[in-house]
Amino acid sequence: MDNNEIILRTKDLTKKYGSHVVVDNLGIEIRKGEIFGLLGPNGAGKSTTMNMICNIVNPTLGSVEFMGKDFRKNKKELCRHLGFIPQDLAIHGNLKAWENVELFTSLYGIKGRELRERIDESLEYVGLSEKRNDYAKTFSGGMKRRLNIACAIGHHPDLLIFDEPTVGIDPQSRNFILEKIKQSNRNGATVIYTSHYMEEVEAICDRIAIMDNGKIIAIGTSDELKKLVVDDISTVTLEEVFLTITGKKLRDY
Amino acid sequence: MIFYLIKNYLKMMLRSASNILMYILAPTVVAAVLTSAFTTLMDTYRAPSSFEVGYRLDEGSVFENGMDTLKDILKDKGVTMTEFSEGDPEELMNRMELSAFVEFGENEYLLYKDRDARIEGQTLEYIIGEVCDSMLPRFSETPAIKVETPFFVPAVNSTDYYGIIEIAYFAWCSIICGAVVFTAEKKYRIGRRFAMSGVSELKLYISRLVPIIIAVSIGLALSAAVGILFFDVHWGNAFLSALVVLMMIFAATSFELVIYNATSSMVATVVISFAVVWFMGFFGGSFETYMFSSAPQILKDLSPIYYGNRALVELSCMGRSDYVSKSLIISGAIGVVGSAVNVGLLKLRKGRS
Repeated sequence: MDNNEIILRTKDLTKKYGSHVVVDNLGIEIRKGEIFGLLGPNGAGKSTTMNMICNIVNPTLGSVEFMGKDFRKNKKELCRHLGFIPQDLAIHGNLKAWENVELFTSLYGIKGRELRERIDESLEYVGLSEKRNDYAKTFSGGMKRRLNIACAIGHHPDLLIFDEPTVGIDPQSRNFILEKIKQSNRNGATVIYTSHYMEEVEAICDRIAIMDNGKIIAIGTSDELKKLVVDDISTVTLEEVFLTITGKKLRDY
Repeated sequence: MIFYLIKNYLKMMLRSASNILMYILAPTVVAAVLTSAFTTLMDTYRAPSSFEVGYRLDEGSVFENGMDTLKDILKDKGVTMTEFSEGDPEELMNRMELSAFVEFGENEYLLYKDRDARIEGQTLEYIIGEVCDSMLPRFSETPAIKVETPFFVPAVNSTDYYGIIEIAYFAWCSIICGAVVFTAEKKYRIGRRFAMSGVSELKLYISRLVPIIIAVSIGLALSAAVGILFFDVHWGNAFLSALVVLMMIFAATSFELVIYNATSSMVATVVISFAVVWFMGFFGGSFETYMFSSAPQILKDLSPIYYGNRALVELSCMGRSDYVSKSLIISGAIGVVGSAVNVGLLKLRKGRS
């Protein structure tokens, strides 16, 4: 693989809380322009991995290389190329839709006329232009999810990280969000996507990694993962592959 | 970047009903209740800024040697002493428009008070009593009498006192203003957006500090305006008073943000902050007057609120105060040290989870 195609690489990424190893020597490579799915049962270490990639949590060991540079050492330069859509609705209910986008987009040094254009563009992108002057607290769950996305894309990031962006919303909103993720990808953004909805991951992801106990235990395209379990991939779903690889034992009992 | 953060935080704070309640209505209501409760007490000690008094000194009086010092002390407090060797005191008071008259006898003095100048008479009685208590053992001594300046009662009534003091007290409860923002940020983990954006700790701190100061200032300014318009509260030097209150808000916000950044809990912050501020306010004169409180002077001296309260009240009743600079320096020091600690705490917490 050509090194220039790799937009993000983790090397021996490890996170320990006391003696508990949450992420264990993780090494993954994300190719520029792909949609990369990260699957895993609860407690597998997905969120901690995301948080380390986004520089929210410091790793105990290892490093994250983003756009060919050490992310921690070049954070100021590189953070503006990264967009994170958290699972939590990280928006302020007492602000209007456009004010939320303004607040979070301005964090990346965008201001004035350019900022106003980015606000319009972001709200248009998620279909909330007509609701721009409404308070976020009056929005439905689906609208809040879309606003959550708008707040993370205003600075035009090259890498978008979606952490379960379709939790708790109706099929129409889910379909809208998935279409927008694919559109972002067609426009040149690389996407890392986590979800517990296997059909979503299978539908939009180019490659998928399955993570358990802090390690990547399988990686490849949907078909490649299925072949790990059966020869005839038409007889098995991604969910069955996931359960076969990670086991059926409850993780958060 | 900071401009947009401050602007949007400020909007959230000003849109909060709890903030309107806390910074506009609460000071007004508390001041009204305390004013009503302590009207009589405060009126007893109210005194005008200057008035004229007549006196007669009998030959051989024990007060003779200390009279010049007594006159100097009273002059400093705005009381002019004029000697009348002859004439009836009551007739002299009427004719010369004197607020009071004192006859210093051999071992005692007789004070004539004007029925229409009751407060002046009481004030004079208080001051002479205080001076004589400290001087009398040495009155017969010669040549010099060293007198410490007696405690002087500012001319303030309960409406002015509590109308001013409660504004200062609520200035010290500024963290409530930020609660609406910080609670939402914690609940929805909005801090992660800041963490990954690379915004510096200093900018993050300033973006929290400034809107709180602005929002609390606006709220308290409106509350003060209500006091002036509807309760006839008299503030002194408007610029200095505003500066003292502003610096108190700065100190309070910085101090309370330290607690929040250290505990990461708004409930803990409010409980700790309010406990500390209540005690500082209690000894500093926010509830019972600082002039006549039963608290030891050392506790008053340890309360930053005392300096602000005293500066504001003296500005109101005397037009000047030696406590203005003390209050500004103490508040500024708390604010600056608190700011440094806050930035340090934010750096310390960065990347931890």
